[in-house]
Amino acid sequence: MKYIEGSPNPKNKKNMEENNPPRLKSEEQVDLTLDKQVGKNLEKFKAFLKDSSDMVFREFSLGTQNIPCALVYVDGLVNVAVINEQILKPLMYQITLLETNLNQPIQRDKIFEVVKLHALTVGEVKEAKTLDDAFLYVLSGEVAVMIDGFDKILIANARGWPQRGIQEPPSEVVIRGPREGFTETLRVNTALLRRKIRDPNLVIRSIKIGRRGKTDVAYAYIKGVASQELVEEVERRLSQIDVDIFLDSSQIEQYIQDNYITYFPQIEVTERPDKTAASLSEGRVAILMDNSPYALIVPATFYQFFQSPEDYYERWILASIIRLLRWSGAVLASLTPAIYVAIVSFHPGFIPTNLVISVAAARATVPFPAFVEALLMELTFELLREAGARLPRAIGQTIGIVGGLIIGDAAVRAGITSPIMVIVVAITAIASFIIPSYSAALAIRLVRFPFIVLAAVFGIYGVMLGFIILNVHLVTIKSFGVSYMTPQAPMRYQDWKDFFIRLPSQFMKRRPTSTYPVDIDRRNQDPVKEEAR
Amino acid sequence: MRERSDWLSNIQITFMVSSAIIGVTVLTLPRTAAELAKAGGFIATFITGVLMALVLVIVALLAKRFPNNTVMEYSGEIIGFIPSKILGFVFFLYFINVVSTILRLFCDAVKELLLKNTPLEILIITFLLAAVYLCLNGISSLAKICELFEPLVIGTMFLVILLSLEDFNFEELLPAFKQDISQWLFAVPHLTISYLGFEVLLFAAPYAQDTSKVVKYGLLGILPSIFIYPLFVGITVGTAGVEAVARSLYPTIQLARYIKFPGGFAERFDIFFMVFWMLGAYTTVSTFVYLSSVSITKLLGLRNYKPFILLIVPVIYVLALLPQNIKEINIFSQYVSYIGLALLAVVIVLYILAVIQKRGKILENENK
Repeated sequence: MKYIEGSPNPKNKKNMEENNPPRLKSEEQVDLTLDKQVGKNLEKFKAFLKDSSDMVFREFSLGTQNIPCALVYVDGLVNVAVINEQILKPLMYQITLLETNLNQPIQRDKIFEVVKLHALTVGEVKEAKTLDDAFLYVLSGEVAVMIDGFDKILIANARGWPQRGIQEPPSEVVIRGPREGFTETLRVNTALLRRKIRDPNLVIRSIKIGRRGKTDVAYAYIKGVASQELVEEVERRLSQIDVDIFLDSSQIEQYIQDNYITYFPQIEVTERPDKTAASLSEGRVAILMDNSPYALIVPATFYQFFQSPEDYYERWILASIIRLLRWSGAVLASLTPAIYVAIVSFHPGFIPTNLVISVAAARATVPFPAFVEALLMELTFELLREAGARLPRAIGQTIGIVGGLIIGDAAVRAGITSPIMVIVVAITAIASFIIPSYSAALAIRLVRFPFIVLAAVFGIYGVMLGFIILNVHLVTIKSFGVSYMTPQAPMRYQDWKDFFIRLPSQFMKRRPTSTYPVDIDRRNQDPVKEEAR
Repeated sequence: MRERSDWLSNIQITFMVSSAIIGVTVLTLPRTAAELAKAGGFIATFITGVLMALVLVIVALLAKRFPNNTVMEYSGEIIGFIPSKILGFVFFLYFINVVSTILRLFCDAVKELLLKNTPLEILIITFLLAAVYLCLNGISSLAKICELFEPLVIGTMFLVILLSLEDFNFEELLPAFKQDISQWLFAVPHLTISYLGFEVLLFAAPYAQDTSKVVKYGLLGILPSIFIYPLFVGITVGTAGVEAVARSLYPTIQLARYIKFPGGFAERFDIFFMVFWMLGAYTTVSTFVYLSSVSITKLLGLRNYKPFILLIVPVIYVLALLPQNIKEINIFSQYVSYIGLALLAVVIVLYILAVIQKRGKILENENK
């Protein structure tokens, strides 16, 4: 273990040497193997950690023989009650009591096993054989118990730190359905998953990512459902990440996605345990990260971003209608301003004569061409949205009123824009918020700017050209080896049951084929012949 | 992972064939049919379709015999090296001419209907570059785009047919039943260009997931056009009358223009039709750009076809601009379709020779 990888920045070198020469020097002298003497091991801990005020080093003696012992833990990451009652009390008091009752001391060479098996009344106890391991455990919130005479350290789990409780996920609200959401603690999140799937085949494996962060990242899948290739691919991509620290799972997303020159999300992100569990049962793999309330789900296809958990909780006919509404919302959000520009500037004949006249009358006072008008208004809307998104809720509403009502009305009265343009912008805005996934909605909304430009140059021909190029781009994207536009391209009829519409749950006897699940059947039935995939 | 970039599922073969066939020529098909077969145009079109389906079966059978190669390679096995190279060159010429013709036809229609003031050159180059972008992404993306767009194209055609029924007058079609069969047959060679495009099988079959089923899925691909084309011709003639259709430049567009959109929120249905029509034209153009680049690559014995896509762009561009007026385009397209017919004849001969010489693999017959 070294504090600084490579050579330090030469500009800062002198400064650094002046400020903390002793620590750097002591680090170089520390031997990372464990010693048999508690004092020396403690010295090694202190060599690294004594400057940190949140470290606790507690020396005490064990039993009647007064064997020197020590505890090391991070204050704030541990539950002090557990340490007092389950670790210190047995070691300092109850073992002494035992020895007095038995009238004979415990043998020195067995004391480690005795402590591990009989004294520590803590659920999870591990052994650390190197200082490196011990550091990682201690800094993750566990307690290191050192006993004189052994070159290994007992690690007792006494984790307990302040954490946010389980709350309703603010970014994915449903009206009907479970209201719990993931939190920033990995263990809570995995527990939420376990509570949904009590199958021993649910595997939650974890690795540590980040040279300094050493963040726990867990990936969950159902063995025998998720394709082995997919799991291996996830494993491979995760293990290749080499970074300093990660603060949110979205950073993992950026490292493991297939294509980073697109603004369409290729990995589904959710705060909802029920959605995650449903994805696992579809043969997908979920990636959870400590410190992040968002789970990543791979592979993701384009149509998934139009699904909401509520679709499955609501009656299927209503859910299907709402899903169709979302698809039309996507079309409206990306194309409405472009079509407006194209029709006004190139093909006024397309719309009924009466409408043409009223549009022309409304635009009579507007000094700009439709293109400039559309661009101005759409940009203003994006400004307002971004301003409102980062503000406290109370001020955000003010922004909405000032922006939407006052500016919109004033712009029309001042003759800068036509009322129809305001309607177009409003439709775009509302339609874009219909899409359940925030990142997909953002991508779909921003795609309209190139469309407006194309419409201004080539009219409706340009809009269609843009539509074609967008689709070509979409079919070339893959998410963990699965084509983005599945199940439409490549065509998979079996998956259409849950695509534009959602058929009754009784019809979904099989898992989606796009994830290549090992076990395609959701329930017992005659094995069907393998359809053409 | 499992989805490879050079792999086509059976359904994708169907979609590729279907979208290669349904292309630009539908814009002019009713005119050709009405000119040559008068009121019986729709019967002539149907006969052409059935005949072409038979040819498609032979093409598919040939492709099935050689599941690992394209026609450029196995023709050498059957007829020898030099003739096969000549055949390959003719294929290349044919493909590149088809691209130019349909590109020109399409861009003319766009200019006529949508963008009167935009130079033709700009339209041709933008559309061509869009097709090139798709081709550079490989055959798998091409197939996926066909799957995405084809339902929209066929859906729009059905919409046009359905909405035109209001003005449809069956009496216009009655003279057809007094016609001589020879008049229908006479029209057949001229109508074939509308059905051409299934040659894609000769080049796509090696990528198919299951080559033994290429006949079945290829036939499925030509089915929509066999039914939609005669319907279109019949409806157009029934709505406007033989004479009007024969004199109209784009009778299909004319048909769409008559349509009153229900609810009246769109005045001109022809623009709506044209917009979705672009998607059909796009898949056809892209398929033929792909075929031209692959054929020239195989002709030269090379592997990577992508540089050739860029190399043939100027050639296509110049060829597309060569005809001076709509009449020359029509003559040009007629010649192109003759080359296509001749090539199909050669392919049939190839198949007969292959059967006689017992070349290639005989795959298990599909018993369905």
